[in-house]
Amino acid sequence: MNATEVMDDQINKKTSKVKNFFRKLSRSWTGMLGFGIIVLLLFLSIFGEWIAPYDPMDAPLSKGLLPPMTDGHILGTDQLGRDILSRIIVGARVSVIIGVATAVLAGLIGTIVGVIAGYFRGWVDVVLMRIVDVTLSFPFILLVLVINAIIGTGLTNIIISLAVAGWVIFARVIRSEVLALREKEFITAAIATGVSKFEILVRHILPNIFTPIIILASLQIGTYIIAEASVSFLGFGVQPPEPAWGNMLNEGKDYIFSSWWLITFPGIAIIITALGVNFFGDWLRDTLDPDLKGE
Amino acid sequence: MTDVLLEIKNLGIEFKTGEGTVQPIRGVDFFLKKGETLGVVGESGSGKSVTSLTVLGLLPEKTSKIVSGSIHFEDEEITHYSDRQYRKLRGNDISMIFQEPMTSLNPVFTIGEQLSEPLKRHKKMSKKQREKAIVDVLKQVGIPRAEQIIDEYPHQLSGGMRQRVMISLALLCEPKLLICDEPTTALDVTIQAQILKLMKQVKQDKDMSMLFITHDLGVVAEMCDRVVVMYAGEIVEVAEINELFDNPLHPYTKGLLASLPTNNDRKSKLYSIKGQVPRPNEIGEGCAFANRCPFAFDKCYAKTPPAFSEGDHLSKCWLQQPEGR
Repeated sequence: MNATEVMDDQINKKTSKVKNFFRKLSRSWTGMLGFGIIVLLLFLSIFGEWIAPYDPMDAPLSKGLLPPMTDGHILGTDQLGRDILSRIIVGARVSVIIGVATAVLAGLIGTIVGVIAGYFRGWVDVVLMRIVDVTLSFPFILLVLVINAIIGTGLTNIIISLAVAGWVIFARVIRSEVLALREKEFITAAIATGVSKFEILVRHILPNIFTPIIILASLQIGTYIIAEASVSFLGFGVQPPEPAWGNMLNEGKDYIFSSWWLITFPGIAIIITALGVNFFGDWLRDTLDPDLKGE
Repeated sequence: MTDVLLEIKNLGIEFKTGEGTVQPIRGVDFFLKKGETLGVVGESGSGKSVTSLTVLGLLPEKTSKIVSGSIHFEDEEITHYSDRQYRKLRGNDISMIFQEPMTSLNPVFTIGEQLSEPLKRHKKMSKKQREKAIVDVLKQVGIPRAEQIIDEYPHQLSGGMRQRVMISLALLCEPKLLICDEPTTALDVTIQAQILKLMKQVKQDKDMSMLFITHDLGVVAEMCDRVVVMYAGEIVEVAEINELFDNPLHPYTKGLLASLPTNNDRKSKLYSIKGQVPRPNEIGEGCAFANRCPFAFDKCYAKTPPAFSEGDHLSKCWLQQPEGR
């Protein structure tokens, strides 16, 4: 095999992986739908400012509270005359950033804690898991609000609050995965070939819990997006006039009886996003979980 | 004694359990000569696996403890080894083959990746050399298309293939001692015969010593030079393979041999030893086998028998006391 053939081979391997992904995806309409919504969301969050028909911050007061499909405003305008479609499109970025960043941060903390607790056991495990228990005993939103009230509002702080309240779920799941793994015979077999404890953890246990981490993270993203919307709705989180779906709901709630579109469309955006992310997460779990895959 | 590779003396191990401590291994003594295959035979729960795990320092640190005795490997005491010293030994000087080939390979790594692990750890080799060594050893253990298999994952292989991979994993660094913990129990009989033949041949080619743990006397007859019979955490009999089959001294060994099915005469029923191996916390004074022994007499219940020897043939039974009862 010469050099170019080797390269071709590698490229073929890569394309076949991508092909395989889409082949599996095409078998499930919910997975396809979820994937489509996620792609759309990512697209909006990157190019939203150029796609939006109007400037989302531009507030011509004379055009306030226009109903949908009037005057070129497809979804109408809010009380300040800002175009709702534009605000939803640009607001997608906040949701995506918060969903992904929180999942990464919470997943990272949770994985580290879960792996340490599960692998080393003993008093470390007891202490860490009691912290997890205490954290889990608070309602999620309440905890996020408390932390947010302490550290202040804003995009970074809402991510931190969500992650601080959210890592415990990761820690729980990862710990139980590690507990099951460390008793597996292949771990003993690896030790018997002279692998050190640290390497067992990093090289043998971590790759095996990668799948549950990815699945859990993808399912949690939906939760975080909704939580951010709830927190923003309650006046914490992302502050106006910055467009975010949650604070659009908050601002629109006063007009709920006279101008329904102010709160309906951001609400629909949240529902579709959460649904899409969850559909995709479910599909991912069904595909990656070896127990369900069948050999 | 330079021709002794492994010597275990008066080994005692204690496990912590919820209800206090138990001793699954009590006063185990045996040695393994270079180039020899020593069989360790016993029922489930007799302490065979615990003994083998102890040699590699693989017992859980928190719940188990060596309370007495010593293990010498190449005239060096290893029970006090640090984790680092043990790591040097494992996979390099002493390798182990496990019972369950289906679960002994990490499912997320390809065969090639798993096999390069001990080489990376113990030998200085380039990537190319490693790959060649791996393909060579895979061919040695009779794996067809070895070049392709190194890129495959464990779930793509059958049980017999995986056990061959496990054997090649153990052989890679050419260990001096190979510990086999029931390597063929999980395989069907035809594959079992192939694997045993392979192991025998590999052992001869590489001039290794083997500690062969099994509950199958047929396998012992096939493989071993000498046999240690264990019962309830103690050694009850040690003998040359032919001597053991021709002239078993301990009633437990006799019972084991009697319970083998034979080709020649069809018995309507297989013989079985009545009762069960006592749990480690149930063992008190006297011979551990006494309550199941057809020949037991008063002394058996009162005092633990020492080892009586007839040349190389050891047995722990009061019946073997030279002056009789």
